[in-house]
Amino acid sequence: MKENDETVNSMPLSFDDLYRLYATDVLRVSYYYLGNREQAEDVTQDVFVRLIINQPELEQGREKAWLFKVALNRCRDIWRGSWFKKVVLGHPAFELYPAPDEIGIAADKYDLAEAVSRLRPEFKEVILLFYYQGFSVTEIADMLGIAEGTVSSRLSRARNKLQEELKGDESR
Amino acid sequence: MIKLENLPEVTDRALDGLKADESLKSKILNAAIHEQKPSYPHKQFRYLAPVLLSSVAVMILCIFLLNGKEPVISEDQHLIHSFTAGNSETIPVSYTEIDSLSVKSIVRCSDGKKIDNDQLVKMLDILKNHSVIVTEDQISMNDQLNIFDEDGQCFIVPVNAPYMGWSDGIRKCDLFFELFENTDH
Repeated sequence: MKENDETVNSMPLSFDDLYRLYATDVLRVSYYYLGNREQAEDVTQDVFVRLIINQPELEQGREKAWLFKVALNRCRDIWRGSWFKKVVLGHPAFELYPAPDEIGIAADKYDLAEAVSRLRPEFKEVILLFYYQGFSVTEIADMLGIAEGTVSSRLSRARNKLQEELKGDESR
Repeated sequence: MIKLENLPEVTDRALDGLKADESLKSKILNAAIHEQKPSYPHKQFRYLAPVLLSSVAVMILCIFLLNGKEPVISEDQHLIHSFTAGNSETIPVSYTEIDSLSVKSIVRCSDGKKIDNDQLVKMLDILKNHSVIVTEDQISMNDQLNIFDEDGQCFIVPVNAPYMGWSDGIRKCDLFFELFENTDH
């Protein structure tokens, strides 16, 4: 897992450090998962409130994995809880929030982000954790409570799905 | 050809406007405070405290009735509490125990006004050096300041400007509140 230099420090990280280092990543992964900014912010809030209240004894270097594990559990709860909206209204649109100087630039460069957001949750999780957050297959298996083989197989299937999605987009 | 290795870069560009900012952080800290309501240091006090407070109230009432004066309602409101993140116990703290240099921000509960700039050290020094203890009877505290230090510890101070309730009594500090009001977020 690629880590910020600060996490190598032997001192345990404070709430401020963890928030500064990982909150935006937690927010964006949650947004990828749920496609709803408010819900993603709620998840981020829940994760960090749990961090403050429960003060889990986190091993050095395992803080990020804990934050994402809690965040994904929360995302799954919300995803399952909103089945009615999903069934009746369809999946939420994945809106982009580009930097001001990026607005108006060809949207096709964001196709990959949009395609990832359209994956099924179990595929999305592994793609985001592996390619976006840089966790290893072993770490992902540990976080999601599934076998390493399952993670590898989901990654492979997710890659194929993305390939199909992006080809479809090109041919349109 | 999919280049999933580019996902971090693509995401940083596509979701650049989606950031965990200071306002979300304040919401988190406030939510943590509200979820972690102050409790008595020892559980048995929960049952003892109402009895003791009632007895004290009755005694005060009797004293004032005997003296022919209006009773003053006693409330345990001028106590500052602190808690560390994850610790459910609260402890009364004196204002002298707050380290000016370690304070990161002060948030006022009534309107969410937050101060986290260079003024903080100056304000806390003013509080320590220029506040005076007042001897007036009970002052109702209708607001609260949450003082956060760099370790995530939060000191909860009941206030009613220009008065503040500390463990050693009520202090008056006009200058502190003046600066608080006139300092931008």
